[in-house]
Amino acid sequence: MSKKKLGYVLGALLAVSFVGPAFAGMSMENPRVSHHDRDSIRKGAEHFVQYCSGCHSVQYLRYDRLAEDTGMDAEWLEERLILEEGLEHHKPMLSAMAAEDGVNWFGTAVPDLSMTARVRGEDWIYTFLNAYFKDEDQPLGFDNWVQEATAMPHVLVHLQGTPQPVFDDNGRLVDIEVPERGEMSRREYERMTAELTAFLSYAAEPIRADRERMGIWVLLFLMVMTAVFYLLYKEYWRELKQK
Amino acid sequence: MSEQSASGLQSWIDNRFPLTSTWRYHMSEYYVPKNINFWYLFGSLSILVLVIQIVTGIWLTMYYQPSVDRAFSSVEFIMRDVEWGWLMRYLHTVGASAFFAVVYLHMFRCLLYGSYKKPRELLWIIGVLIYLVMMTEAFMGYALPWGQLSYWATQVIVALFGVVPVIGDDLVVWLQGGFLVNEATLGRLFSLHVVGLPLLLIVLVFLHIVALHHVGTSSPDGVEIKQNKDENGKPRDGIPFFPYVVIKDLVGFGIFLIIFCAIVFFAPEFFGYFIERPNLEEANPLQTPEAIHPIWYFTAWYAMLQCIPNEAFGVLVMFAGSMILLFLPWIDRGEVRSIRYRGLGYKIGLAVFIASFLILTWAGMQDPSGAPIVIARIFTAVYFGYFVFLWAYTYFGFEQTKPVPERVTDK
Ligand code: HEC
Ligand code: HEM
Repeated sequence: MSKKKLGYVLGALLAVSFVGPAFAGMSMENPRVSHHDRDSIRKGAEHFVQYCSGCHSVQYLRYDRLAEDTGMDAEWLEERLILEEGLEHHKPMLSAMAAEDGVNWFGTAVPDLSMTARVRGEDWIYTFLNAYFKDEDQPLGFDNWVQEATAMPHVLVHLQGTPQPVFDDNGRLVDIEVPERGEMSRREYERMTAELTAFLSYAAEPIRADRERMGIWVLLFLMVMTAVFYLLYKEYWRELKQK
Repeated sequence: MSEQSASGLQSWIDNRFPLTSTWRYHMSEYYVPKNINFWYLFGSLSILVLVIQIVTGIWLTMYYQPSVDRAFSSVEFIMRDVEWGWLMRYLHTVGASAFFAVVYLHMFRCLLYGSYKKPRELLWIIGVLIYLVMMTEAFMGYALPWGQLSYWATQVIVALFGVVPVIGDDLVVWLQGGFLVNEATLGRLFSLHVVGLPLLLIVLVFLHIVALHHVGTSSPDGVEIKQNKDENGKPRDGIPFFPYVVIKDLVGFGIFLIIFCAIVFFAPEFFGYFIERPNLEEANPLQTPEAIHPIWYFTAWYAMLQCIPNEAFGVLVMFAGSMILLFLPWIDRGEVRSIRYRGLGYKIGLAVFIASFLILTWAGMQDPSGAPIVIARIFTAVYFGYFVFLWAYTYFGFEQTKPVPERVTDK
């Protein structure tokens, strides 16, 4: 049985590794926001609460940590982020939606987004939010270049406008155009999705910006320490060579 | 006065515990060749990394929870809510990779200068045992965060034991404590990772040093400094380990820590090589990850396993790959130790051997199909072929060596 199991595991891995991307001619885009940019992270958090937290949780992120790291106060949390009356500030950002509801409505559990930016990458999220296109064959009316037949509705369609696919002669998707804009210009929409990405990226590793700031001092200290060791070494070995 | 009391204390202790003599034997009067070079640093560095692993490991164990439901979230708790928890975790994960990097370079030195040859065979064998324990330790540690790769890698590795004839199936069930990798499996992996194997590792490293100080450190020329002593019995080409080598090693520690901390603070995932993306997703027994290969320090062995169509034979070859190192002192019959004075055949052979290991490491990271499989087959053959070549080359006297100097050379 185990021999078969090993074969099965290795075989399954082999099979999946053949599945390639379904569309060609498009590429992942970088959101171009720095993880040191607190303003973008803060705005991203605000957008998130407005448009995403109805469905998605960020279970490993606490509200007060977010406020602290973006330089905001409790008032901001109360006014902009925490929708539930009287929720304590150290609670994690959980969606109000029950898990079963997600399965019932979308056919799949709505994924938690705490780690998504590290698992899939910032580019993936940013491109995903910019890769919806109209497809009447899909139950929700939209398909997505990044996640084919995605179960997530295009929740930002009123802001972006209706994106239309552009196919080449072989029927491959090569571009997505938005002939009629929604409430936002192209620039604004890209900016907003970049901010959402910055927030999710922060949520996946809140310490990242601080870690890098600290790292510089640690490296400086180590360099000085090593220089001192080096001088000591020279001193000792000079004695040795004189002997 | 204070000096007197210090020496008073010292003699008090020395009458009860061999403090001064141990210090002399292992530090202030342990003589090493004065021309040991860069390659001799990696032994001390391995000790440094071992200490880092143990200290950070103790901290992680305070908060980590070895249960299927909570393992993943407890690691995120360490990363986010425990003061300095993220630092402990990154030091530990980057430390694991650093450990292998440093030990691989340490082993390479042994091949360069024939450190495994008489009288250091046991020292070498203890080293290979350390390497085997380290691999087991690393595999078990990798399982603990209970990410997708943790889970599936554990599945694959435990299933390997299924190829054992007759008892294979029962063995697997017994090892994992059930028909699947489960809570019981995680419990034993945890216990072995934090107590069992570290204890074994510390004992082995202790034996390693005892053996080393008994036979003495080799020189890059393969010359034994013990063979040339002055009237006081001190090796003419030796220098005391303390303080000269200690201070030199400290410079090396500093440079190592700069590189190490640059990675810890600026690229702890090291572009997906030290922490792999799929492992940041919680284990899901119902969903096979898209691509699975072990972490970089295992991929050479994994390439050997994958490229062989017969599973039982593949497992055998994979284990043989590291076990064969145990016999190296007797496979290499050459009298000359150091690569400096060995034949051209040895130099080329060693270069090809190292290349085959690196290529296998690469091949094990690729999708197991097409060219990487063929390449892995070729270089698995080259890897084992090296030992056959080395034996024939030295046994039948093909090697044209250069004369070895009487005393160590000055740089
Ligand atoms: C109406 C509910 C709903 C809303 C609102 C919503 N999503 Fe989703 N989202 C989903 C569902 C369902 C999925 C799962 C898609 C699938 O697996 O096919 C998903 C998947 C995702 C994923 C992919 C996660 C992964 O790892 O596969 C990302 C990223 C994401 N959503 C981001 C967002 C962002 C950003 C917003 C706010 C602009 C948002 N979502 C708003 C329902 C929603
Ligand atoms: C935890 C891992 C290890 C530690 C802490 C360790 C430590 C050391 C130290 C401090 C030395 C002396 C300094 C030096 O020569 O570099 C040494 C020498 C040596 N080690 Fe290791 N070692 C480890 C693993 C290994 C492994 C995996 C091997 C081989 C497979 C090995 C083989 C040797 C040999 C043969 C020597 C003698 C070198 C000589 O004198 O030429 N060691 N080790």
